[in-house]
Amino acid sequence: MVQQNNGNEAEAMDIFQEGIIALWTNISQGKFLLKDSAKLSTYLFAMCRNIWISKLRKQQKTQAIDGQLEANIPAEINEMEAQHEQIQELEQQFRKLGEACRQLLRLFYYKKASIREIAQEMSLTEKTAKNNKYRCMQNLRALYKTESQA
Amino acid sequence: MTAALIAKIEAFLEGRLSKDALHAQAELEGVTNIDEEIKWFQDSQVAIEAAGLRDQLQEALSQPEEKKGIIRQLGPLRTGFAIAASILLLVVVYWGMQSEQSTSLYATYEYVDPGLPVLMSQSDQHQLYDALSYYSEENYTVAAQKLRLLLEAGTKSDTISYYLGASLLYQGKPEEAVPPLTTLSEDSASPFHLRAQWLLVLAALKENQLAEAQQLLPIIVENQTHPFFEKAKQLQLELDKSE
Repeated sequence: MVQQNNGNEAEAMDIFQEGIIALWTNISQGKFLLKDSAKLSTYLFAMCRNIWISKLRKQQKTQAIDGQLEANIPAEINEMEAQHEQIQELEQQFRKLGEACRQLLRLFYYKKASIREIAQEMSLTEKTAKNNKYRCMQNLRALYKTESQA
Repeated sequence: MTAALIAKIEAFLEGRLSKDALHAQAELEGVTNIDEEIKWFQDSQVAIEAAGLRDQLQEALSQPEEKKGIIRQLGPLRTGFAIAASILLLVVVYWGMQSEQSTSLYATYEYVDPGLPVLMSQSDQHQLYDALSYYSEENYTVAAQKLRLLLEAGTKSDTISYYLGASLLYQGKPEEAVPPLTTLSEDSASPFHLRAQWLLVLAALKENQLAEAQQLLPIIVENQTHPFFEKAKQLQLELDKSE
């Protein structure tokens, strides 16, 4: 779909990856429930299609958008994409944190490691690991506040 | 925002703390926009998880330089595998999240029946007393075994069926808890009928059957005097919102 609409293989792979993350973002927030008759792959394709159209628009390549491509995009997909964009902004702020904070928060929230496991992995005491976790979340919040005021 | 408030928000999101308790802590700290803070916190957690997922996907989809020669020949095949692996990952994550959501809902709405205050001196049913003693001590495995033996021996009573269902639910066997609870939930003359209706909802949440839970809620929500009316209404709203 991407390659047929002014994109290359690498961009297709990027869009596919972005679609997976967008769908996952909405699943994890409880904003997406798979309907009995629907296939997950159908939603994934629709999400990828939407993300690609948005990207082309941002690059002002609107003439490259095939009319067929834009047809019949369900409203829920647009909402899901908007939600994904918000999370993407927060993800960018997370990536601005220092390496230690990123590692700690990733271990805790993504890998679901306990404070004890994090302390062992990062050679910290449990108390320090716990304090650092809160400090890192506060840093992330401060970044968000600064960015949203800018 | 203090570390204490962050900890409370986390506890609330995990279903370990009520919204009222969280609001009380926020008031104590002079935080007036607690709902915004909860939303930010929730979104941030998702963003951190999304970053982790992105890194993992990039790792899975990237091509190591030294193997490029072979990989070029296997290109389409490899891409196919990567796509299949990613979809599989998404499916696994989806079911994982569904299960996580229902686990957290179960924790939020859990009701643990404390059991009957049976005094041995007042009871001529020693075996039932014995089983209910284990139940009161939260030893649900032994309680269920003893209650099941009583049923199998032909002693039929609503008390036995109800506490057998409850014991099985609390020990993590919701599927087995459903038959005895269903019978009671349909018998309006039974003193356990309303409680059985709610335990069936909890069994559905525990089994990750959100649609089933939704189907069981209307009968509770239609009855304003039902002891679980408020909880059921709240859960119904929450499930409708997540659709």
